[in-house]
Amino acid sequence: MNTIKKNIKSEKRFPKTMLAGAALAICSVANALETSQVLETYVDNTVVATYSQMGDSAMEFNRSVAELKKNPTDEAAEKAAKDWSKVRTFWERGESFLFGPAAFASLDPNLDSWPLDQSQLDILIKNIDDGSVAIDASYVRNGLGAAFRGFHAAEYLLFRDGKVRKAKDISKGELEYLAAVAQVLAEDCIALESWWIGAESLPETKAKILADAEIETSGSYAKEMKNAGKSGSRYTSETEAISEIFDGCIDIVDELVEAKLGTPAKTENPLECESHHSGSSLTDIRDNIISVRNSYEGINANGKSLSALVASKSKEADSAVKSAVGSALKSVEALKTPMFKNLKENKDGFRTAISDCEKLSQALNKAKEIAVE
Amino acid sequence: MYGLKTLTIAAPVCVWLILSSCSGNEATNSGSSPKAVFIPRKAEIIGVKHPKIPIEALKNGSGALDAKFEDIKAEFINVSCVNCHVNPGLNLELPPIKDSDGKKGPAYYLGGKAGTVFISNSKSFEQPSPAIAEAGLTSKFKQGEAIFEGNFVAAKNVPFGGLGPTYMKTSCIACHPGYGRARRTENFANEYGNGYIATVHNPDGSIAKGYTDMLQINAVKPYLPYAKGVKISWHNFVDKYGNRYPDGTPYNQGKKNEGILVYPSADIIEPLLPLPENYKVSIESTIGIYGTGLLDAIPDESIIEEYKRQQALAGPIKGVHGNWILDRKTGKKRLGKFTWHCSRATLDDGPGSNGIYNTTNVSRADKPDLYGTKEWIEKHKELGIDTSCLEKPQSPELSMEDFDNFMIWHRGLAVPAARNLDNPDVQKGRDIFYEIGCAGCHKPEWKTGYYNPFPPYSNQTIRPYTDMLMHDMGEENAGRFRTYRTPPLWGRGLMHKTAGHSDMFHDLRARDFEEAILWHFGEAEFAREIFRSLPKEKRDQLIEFLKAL
Repeated sequence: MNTIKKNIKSEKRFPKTMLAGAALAICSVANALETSQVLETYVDNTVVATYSQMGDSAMEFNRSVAELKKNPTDEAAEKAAKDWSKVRTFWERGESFLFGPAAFASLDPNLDSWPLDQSQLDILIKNIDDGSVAIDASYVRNGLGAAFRGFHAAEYLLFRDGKVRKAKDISKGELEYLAAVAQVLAEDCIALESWWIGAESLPETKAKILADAEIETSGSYAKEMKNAGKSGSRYTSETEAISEIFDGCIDIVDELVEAKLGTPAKTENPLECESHHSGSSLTDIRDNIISVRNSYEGINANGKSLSALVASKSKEADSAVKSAVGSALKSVEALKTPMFKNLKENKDGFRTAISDCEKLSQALNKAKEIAVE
Repeated sequence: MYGLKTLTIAAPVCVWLILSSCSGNEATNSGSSPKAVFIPRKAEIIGVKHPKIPIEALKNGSGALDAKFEDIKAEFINVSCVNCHVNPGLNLELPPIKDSDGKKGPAYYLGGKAGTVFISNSKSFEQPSPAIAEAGLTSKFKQGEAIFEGNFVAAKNVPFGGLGPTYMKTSCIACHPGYGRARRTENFANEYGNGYIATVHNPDGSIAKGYTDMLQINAVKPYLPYAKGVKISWHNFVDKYGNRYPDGTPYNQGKKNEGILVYPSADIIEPLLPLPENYKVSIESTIGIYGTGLLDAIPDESIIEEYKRQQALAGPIKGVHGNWILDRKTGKKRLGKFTWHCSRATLDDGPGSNGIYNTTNVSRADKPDLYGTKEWIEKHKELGIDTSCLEKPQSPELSMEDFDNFMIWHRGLAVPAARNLDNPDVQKGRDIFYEIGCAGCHKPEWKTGYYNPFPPYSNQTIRPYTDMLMHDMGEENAGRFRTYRTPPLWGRGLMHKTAGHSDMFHDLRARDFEEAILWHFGEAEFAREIFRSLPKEKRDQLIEFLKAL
């Protein structure tokens, strides 16, 4: 149990008159940070804010794809591609909190399965083009597996070889498929937001989209996390919830080490680069590290962050995480993009970036131990 | 060491509590009055002072003198009977909750020192064991994890290539949300979260001719799946008590599904191959992966010892062990202990190592052949679909390096530590667990032997709460068979955190612990009956203990 929490409990236990006599003794904790405040700030300003913007941008992407389908011009394709990248950014910045609804409601696999089953997808497109398959959002939602939907299906339809496709190269069947995928992607993004904030708190336009798709969510994960340690929350203590945030961060950093950076570096196979069709592999990775920073340092946290919680116990451990985040970001930003075309050129850079991510993982593990001890 | 008070003070001879109401009745052994009682002849022969049994406790109502334990109705078996007819020979010593330094003691280390991690959040089932880290295998573990989580695709010679020609799912994690057990569904086609496998079989449980053990409902074109799908239907179940406890309260009181128990049935949709007239379709769920390396380290002879203990007892529990299966690695015969039907002996030839092949049809050097049947090939020929490339050994689609990492991951998944063992309700629940006979099958403790595949797992005291044996669970639970291996209970209290559900039992008919206990029939029906008769407070305490595991 953390000492700050113990002190706060003491403060609550004694009447104010008694506390007055001990004012000096407790003045050091008068402004102490409560774990519940950290959880509240994390949930509202980092998780919910990210998912809310992701939902908004996914709706915008869906609209721009509908426009592209209606009027297939290069400009419309560029707009749709730009909007895809925007949604993608929010998703990647959410990869340090893929616990909870993203996992148990299968939204992570449905939105971001990798690799894409390109050969089967090509057959499907051919069948749409020759009229043997009629595709719509319902078909994608209920009839297609995770390898045929989500970000990477949309990416494959909009980008090739790291560039936005020309409108004339996109078949009618592809446009129909893209429109269906974009709609389901928006539904899934909104569903994720709804699982967190609770269906009753969802803005009307978003609620209607879920209702039309017959998607229901239950409960509010945000409430459960903020109410850690209280009745109705699956987190039996605030410490458990704090450990969840750390483990979410550690998980994505380890994935960078072993998979997103590690595998392409080891195999030098461009097909091992996630998001290689759009050439945005390094943007994904950069956003993942920003996601860790957002979880750890908070967004508009006003001193109520995980970082502050760790610093209250060990300034050294806190500085180590911040510094490791900075180094990892810097080394990833130094890599030559697009990654899939620069695997050999990035050989030394990969080594540095992987090493920096390993250090970040270690720093997070250390900080976690301190925060939950 | 902690002793279990209620058991250690138990009288050496059973006392049938129910007989207290019959104590004044002097009915003869062969009497037919409902209040008549008898003493089994065998007890008299071996010189045991056995309490009197009411005649009405007999299933057939006659032949009382020669009655055996199995002739007694489950509802007449009570905690005193459990002492003599279920628990003898079990290790009833409880490990300390605290160690000498006042820290969490051995009771918390469900996976032993080498295999337990202290974590209680959504990642509880995903952790490398301490032994993996100490052995410097964390990186390989993570690489193996990527194989578990990755999506296989149809193209060959690409990352994760080689899916098909037929397949069930594209990834392992699809069936193991949160690395644990699947959740129930009405839609078999659901790719993620639904961990049902379907079998098409004859009434004796043998697989219907031409079908694979796991029905494949997906195929890469131009090939065809064995069926278009599986229809799952859910049915209400009402027991002879109208789904109520003796105190009048309904099962699932206060929950959305108050008074309701449901179970699934399944049928095949548009089968590709002809079916026998009396075919059946059964669905079974995936089992959690964590801790399986430690279960693999339990010596076969220890399982046989437990089997003999159960068989020697005059009691309801008669577990059956799996077959002796030839282990290709060592050339020795090993005891079947994995899967619901103990059909796999070792982890190297276990559900994971086969599952990644059966589910995806991705070949590898040690599994070069198609996961398919000759009837399926013949059907394709009949339809003019070329299968020549499938009739010979396939080139490896998963490298052995990847597979070895996958197995390091599989073997190295840690067991989360128990929680809240110092809570008085949890402790009372733990005592009830023994008193009502749960430990008869959910054997708490094992000692691992020397474990060659991963020596750090040797000589560990683990607490999985399974006897690794199969038990008849009654006609109510009949699927492909009526017998099921006792599933481990370790980590079950964390299911809601790891996967957002707590669906349990062989076909996920139980939505939580209460329902799971209420679905115990067959050999375990007596425990269900005693549980039903407990006051609510005690029922809740038992569930609190299970949640703490």
